[in-house]
Amino acid sequence: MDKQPYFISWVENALLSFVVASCVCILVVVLLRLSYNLNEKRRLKLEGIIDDVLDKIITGGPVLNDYTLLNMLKRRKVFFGKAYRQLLIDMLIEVRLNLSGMGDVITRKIYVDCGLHNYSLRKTESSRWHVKVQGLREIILMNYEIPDIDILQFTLSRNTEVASAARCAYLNFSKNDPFRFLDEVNAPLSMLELIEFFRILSESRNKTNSNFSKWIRYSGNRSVVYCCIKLAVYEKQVRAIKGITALLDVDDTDLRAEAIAALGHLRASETKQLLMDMYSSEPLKCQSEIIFAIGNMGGEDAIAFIQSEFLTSTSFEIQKRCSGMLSNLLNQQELETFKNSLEEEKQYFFGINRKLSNKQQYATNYY
Amino acid sequence: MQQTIIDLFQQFIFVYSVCMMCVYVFLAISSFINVDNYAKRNKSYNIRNIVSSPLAPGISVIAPAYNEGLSIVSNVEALLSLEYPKFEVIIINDGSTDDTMDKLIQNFDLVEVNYLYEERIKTKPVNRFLKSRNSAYDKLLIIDKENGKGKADASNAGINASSFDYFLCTDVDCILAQDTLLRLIRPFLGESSRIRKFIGRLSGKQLDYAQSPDRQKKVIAVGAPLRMINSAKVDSSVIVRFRPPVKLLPRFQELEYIRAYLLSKMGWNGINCVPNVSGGLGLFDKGVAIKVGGYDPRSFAEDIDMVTRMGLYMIQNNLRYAVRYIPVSLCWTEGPETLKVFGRQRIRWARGLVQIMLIHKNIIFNPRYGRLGLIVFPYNLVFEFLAPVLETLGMLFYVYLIAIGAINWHNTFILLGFLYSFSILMSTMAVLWDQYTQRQYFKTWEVVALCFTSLLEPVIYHPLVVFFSLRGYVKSLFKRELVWGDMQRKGFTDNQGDLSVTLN
Repeated sequence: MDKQPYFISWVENALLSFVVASCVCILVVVLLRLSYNLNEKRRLKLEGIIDDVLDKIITGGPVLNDYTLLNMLKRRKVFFGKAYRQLLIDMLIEVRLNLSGMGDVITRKIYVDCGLHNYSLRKTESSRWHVKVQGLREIILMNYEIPDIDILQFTLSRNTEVASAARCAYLNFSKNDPFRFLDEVNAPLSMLELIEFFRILSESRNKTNSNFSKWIRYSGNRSVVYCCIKLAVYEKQVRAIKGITALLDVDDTDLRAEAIAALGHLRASETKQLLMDMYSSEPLKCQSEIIFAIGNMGGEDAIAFIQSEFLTSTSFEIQKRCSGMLSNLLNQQELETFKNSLEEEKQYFFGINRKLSNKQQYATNYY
Repeated sequence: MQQTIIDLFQQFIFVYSVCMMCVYVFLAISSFINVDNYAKRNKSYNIRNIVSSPLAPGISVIAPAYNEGLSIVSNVEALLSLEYPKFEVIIINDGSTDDTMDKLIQNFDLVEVNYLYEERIKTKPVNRFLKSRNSAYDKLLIIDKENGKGKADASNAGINASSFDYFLCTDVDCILAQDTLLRLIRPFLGESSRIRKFIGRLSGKQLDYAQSPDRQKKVIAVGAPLRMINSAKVDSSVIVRFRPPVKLLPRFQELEYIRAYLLSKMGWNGINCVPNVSGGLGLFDKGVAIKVGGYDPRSFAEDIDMVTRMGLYMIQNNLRYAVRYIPVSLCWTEGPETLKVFGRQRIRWARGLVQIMLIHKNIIFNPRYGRLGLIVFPYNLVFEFLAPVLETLGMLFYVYLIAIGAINWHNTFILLGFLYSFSILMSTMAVLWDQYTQRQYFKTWEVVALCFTSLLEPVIYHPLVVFFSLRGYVKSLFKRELVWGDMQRKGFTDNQGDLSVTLN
């Protein structure tokens, strides 16, 4: 018999390894599902216990001293296992996100009493970035305060996910200057991070003392400037107006449009004339924002300016913006008078459908 | 001479197969890294933060409908119940000849309104706009237009009427997961955080930003896997029990979709070379889509075509861009159950591929177009477009070798077994990646059984796909007209009975 070519024996080996690998894949699928089912059972068990305690809290029974979840957990020895520990943290976070007041306090107490905070803190020391992020998120969501100086080191991480989670933690726990990290940020801040900042700020219910104007004027990081404009508007920080006004000269159209819109939100009437003057030399996006800003600032001159732009502009976007702002600025009678003075084509922008109420009509046109 | 040709052809087929297998191995590895990264990123991020945020960008959900009278009401209600803080649902009645419009008017209390509409993309005339008098349906806008002989024209009308910066394109007969918008918007919002290690340059001058917008990638489209709904239990357009299709043809398609999305597209996602975003579910940047003229109504593969043109626009304007995929299945659609309907679908896809290759032939192997010219299009040409032709030639060549008695049966069987086992491995790996991401199927045995379906796929399903692709190529060659609007579907309303819906 001829000796088999080397190539064929190699293919035979590969074939065998493919078959084995396929079997391994199926086995892993089965194991994954088994572990998932096991986790589900554990979760249901914990859910039962937590529901039991929460019922007692809601019905006003003896809670913290006599009959705590901690005792129940200890009795059932459920929080000793690693899998249970993680599940318990996840569940407490979920409960905490949906509860306020006493429930909020109790979930935090359970977190600390069970020593789960140590588990979260240990995670922050991990060398794996996702574990570190998970640990940081857990302490934020459970509001377990740690010294802000301990978090600051993470904000300098070269891993953007870790740095992002650390910035959120810092914002959550720092008392004096929660946005101090913005001085050091050299990676772009994502919109998701900004969303998280807003959530933390809205939950803390306290106004920050940070002066966003500083970063708006001097930061070299575009995303920090963008973020601070949004935050200044959110915090209604009038002292940021000067910094935002300085951005009207930047070359970046998107950033300039954002600054113009911010001035409108902050009703910076002192910049109204400046905006009107720059209007004609701006691109469409900025023009649209100028209409919005001036409309928000209000006044006779604003109405006259917007009316004039509505009549002269050929851009659909601008006409739509103008008609929206005029509908807000003018009362019903003034609006009708203005509408009647228009040629039919332009009246279309103020079309009133008799079958709908005015409110619905305006909603329809997305003013 | 003859022997030399035979040897050369054999070597060519061998090299081609090895290259293809290498690409698949690369995709399998890349997709696992991506799926794993996605899972890690999502583990500790609460996606519902977006729900309560005033910063969440608005999304317009665009769903064209053509003769959907049987299921339109429940499907629109399902779209209206999506979980997202700021969105609108735009249903485009593309000149339906059944009672689609009447049902919409009746059930949603619609009245004609004046609507500020700018035809930024040319479409067939729009007859009227309707909104509900019931404030519960404030988010709903109906566009009644003339039939544009395809989904593209209707989608373009929806894009024109949309108010937000992003639009989700779907089919009205698809069922979407409740958190579809929340999941799809994430890559748009978090793209900058993908830069794992970034050292910015702090500039002394205020106006000279170290990270100007063009240095960051702009996400222009995001997609997610589509799955088959054929045997799932549906109640009021909500899936209450996920199940792999029982019938063989949709079951093969389910496996094919898992492989295509979880292995292939997630793999390409890793190197920012996603070739297309499916027409069934895709979230797009409206500004870029409008600049490229929206969907092309003349195209048989309007989804690939638009994503390609969007990419070209970004490249030509020196803007960095990304097309992203996420591994979570968010959309369920009904797969063809009969060979006739399946064949028609695949012929259309094949003709679409031919069309794309011809329209964009100047991109192929053109370094000016970066990855699009050097990876995406060459891959499509060599491993998607040419594969059915080469496979057929290979099979004919085998037959010829058998006829002249020049075949070594032992080696042939080993080589065929090698390819067969590789195909099974790829399918089982795709199912594994899917299970790693999410576990929608209720029973473990259902998943294992789906894995075993891959044993039959290479011998039953794959030849069919090759056959219909070749028919599509032949039809393209003779420029035969393509007939739209004959996709007979069973429907997936509450009773999985005898509903027969004609879809566009």
